[in-house]
Amino acid sequence: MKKNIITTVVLSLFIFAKLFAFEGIIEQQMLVENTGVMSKVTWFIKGDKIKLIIKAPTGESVTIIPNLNTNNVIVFNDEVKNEDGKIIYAEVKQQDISSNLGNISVGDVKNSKYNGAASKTLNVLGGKGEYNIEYLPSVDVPLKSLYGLLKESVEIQALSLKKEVGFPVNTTLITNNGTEKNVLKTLSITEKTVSDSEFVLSETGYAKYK
Amino acid sequence: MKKLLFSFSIFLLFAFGTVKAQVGINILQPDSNAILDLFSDEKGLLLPRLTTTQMTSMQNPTNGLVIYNTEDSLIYYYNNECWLKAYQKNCQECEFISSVNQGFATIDRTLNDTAYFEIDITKINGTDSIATAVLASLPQGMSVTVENPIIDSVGTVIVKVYANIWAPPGTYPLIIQSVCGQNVYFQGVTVEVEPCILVNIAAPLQDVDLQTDFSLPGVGTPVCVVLDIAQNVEISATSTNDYAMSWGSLDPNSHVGLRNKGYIYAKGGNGANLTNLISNPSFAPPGENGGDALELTCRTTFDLQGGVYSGGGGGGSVGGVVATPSLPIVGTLVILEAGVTGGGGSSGGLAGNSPGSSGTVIGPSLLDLGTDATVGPTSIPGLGGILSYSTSFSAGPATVTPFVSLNGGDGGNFGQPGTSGAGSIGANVNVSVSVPFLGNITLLNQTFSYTLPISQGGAPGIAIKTNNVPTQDLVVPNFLIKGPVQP
Repeated sequence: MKKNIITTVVLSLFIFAKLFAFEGIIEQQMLVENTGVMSKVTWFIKGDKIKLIIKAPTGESVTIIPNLNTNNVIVFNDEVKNEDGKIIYAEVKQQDISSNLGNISVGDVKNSKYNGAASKTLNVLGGKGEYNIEYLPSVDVPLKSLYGLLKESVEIQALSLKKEVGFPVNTTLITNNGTEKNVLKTLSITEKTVSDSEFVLSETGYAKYK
Repeated sequence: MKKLLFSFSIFLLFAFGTVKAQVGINILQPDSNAILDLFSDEKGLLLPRLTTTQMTSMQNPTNGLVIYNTEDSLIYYYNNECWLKAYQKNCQECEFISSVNQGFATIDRTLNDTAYFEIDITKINGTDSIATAVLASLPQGMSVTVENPIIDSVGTVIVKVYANIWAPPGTYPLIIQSVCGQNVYFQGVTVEVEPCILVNIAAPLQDVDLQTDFSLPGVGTPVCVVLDIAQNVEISATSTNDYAMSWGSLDPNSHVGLRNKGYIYAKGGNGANLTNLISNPSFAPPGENGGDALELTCRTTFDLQGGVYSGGGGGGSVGGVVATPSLPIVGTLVILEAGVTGGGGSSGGLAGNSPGSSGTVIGPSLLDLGTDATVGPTSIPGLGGILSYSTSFSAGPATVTPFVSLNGGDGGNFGQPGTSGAGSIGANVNVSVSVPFLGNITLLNQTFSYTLPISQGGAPGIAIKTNNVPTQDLVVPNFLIKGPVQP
């Protein structure tokens, strides 16, 4: 009897957790390595629907919408339009994406605090040097599904390899010559209802590049 | 007494009548060879005066009979065959009447180059024909011809005296000689050749308007002009819109004699310019047409010893761009632009120019300008630019292997068109971008290849624009004339 009750509670918690995966908007700043520019990253997350907009200080932006069902990625710049005024987007297959990250080695996970909330920190070697990736386990985002698509994100690649659940909120890089810099930090995490229209490209406003 | 006087008279009559048969009137001793010797220093011998009808009505006139004809005021004698004028020898002798319509004529060499004299001849007696010729000593440039010189009975002989524009002005006498048998009749006439205005050019000039530049009379006053261009003197144009030389607003009935020992040459056309290749990728501008050398507005006689050259056409230009379509994230990339301009045509045509890079090209902006034509009668036309490029490069997100081959048109020599510009441009283009979080994605991997529109070379100008006026001694084709001769 007691065993059945525990099983039921665990199962309920699991279902409850699934029913209440993160929905909201996360704003971050990241250092774009090849430009040395801090760009703003805005995540729109609704369960397994994800969209991120990376915006440079110059105003240029790139929007990425991974499709976890097809394993393709839609990418576009909303300033690039065709002669009909429609934004041109590319649908890129997973196998057509390559990365400069190279092989990474994931170390141990340590407990930490992030703005008073329980967090974890993962140590990673590879890419540009040694990374300390801090993440919030309480923000449940299916990053593992993004492993094959967001190949340039050391955070997503490392958490997926470690099979850790959570969302990276702060990353520090110690380069090979000993320089330490903050390459990712979170500005805000807002849980809110996100409209399905954020993840849909209308035919009137968008045209696929062929 | 009376009887005595009568007998004495009879005696005297027989005494003098039988000893001497001579009569002297007013002279005591008549000439021994004369049967009748008349002397007076205040009176004449008055012959019988008859009309022609009275003379010819005479029955059986005696041989040697002499009368005075009151109609033609001549003394006639009868030779036992016919009545002859005192100067005639026999009844078959040729006799004719000749009269010329005018004794003086003028040749102005504008409205007329020829003076005409009409000689009306009527034969009165004889069987021979009357032949007319002209005796004259005329300078070079003048000539005389006789039409219908032989008259059998009645007719008109026409004497034409011609003076070309080079003939020296002056007054020239001519003797019109008509001969029939042994009778010769001379009539004198005079031809005046009016002077022409002399214009001598001994130094280089440009854009010459003969009428205004030399203050010649304009429309309404026909003039004769002899234009001498000295040896090796250059008459040229400053632009393709100007004639090197024009007769200008001379009266259409004027006459110009052009003795050219120098050079009359037009401006060559410029090579075509390149436009903004980004906005006009398919535009192939032609080379500029060459200018015209000489314009006639009235009758012209030529003595060409020097050149008349129309401007050569400018060479064609060609250029193009390689650009991607509008790609996601990066938009349209203008990978490279390349152009060559045409060479300038003779004389003095400039090579085409370029507005320079459009500024939006991410790769090289390749340009080779043509060359200008040299200036002068021995001008060498300019050459078109040449471009060949195949060096791989990277520009922005693009990796490019280009293939560019462009040839600008050469400028044309005098009287010749410029040549066309042609070529092709292309490249293999790979566009890859690195997107944060995402990684590297290839947006494009494609080969672009374009055969560019041919840019025509400019046409040559006109060497001599006649405007359909009469010309003389203009020999075409002629190695001294480079370019077309046309209205």
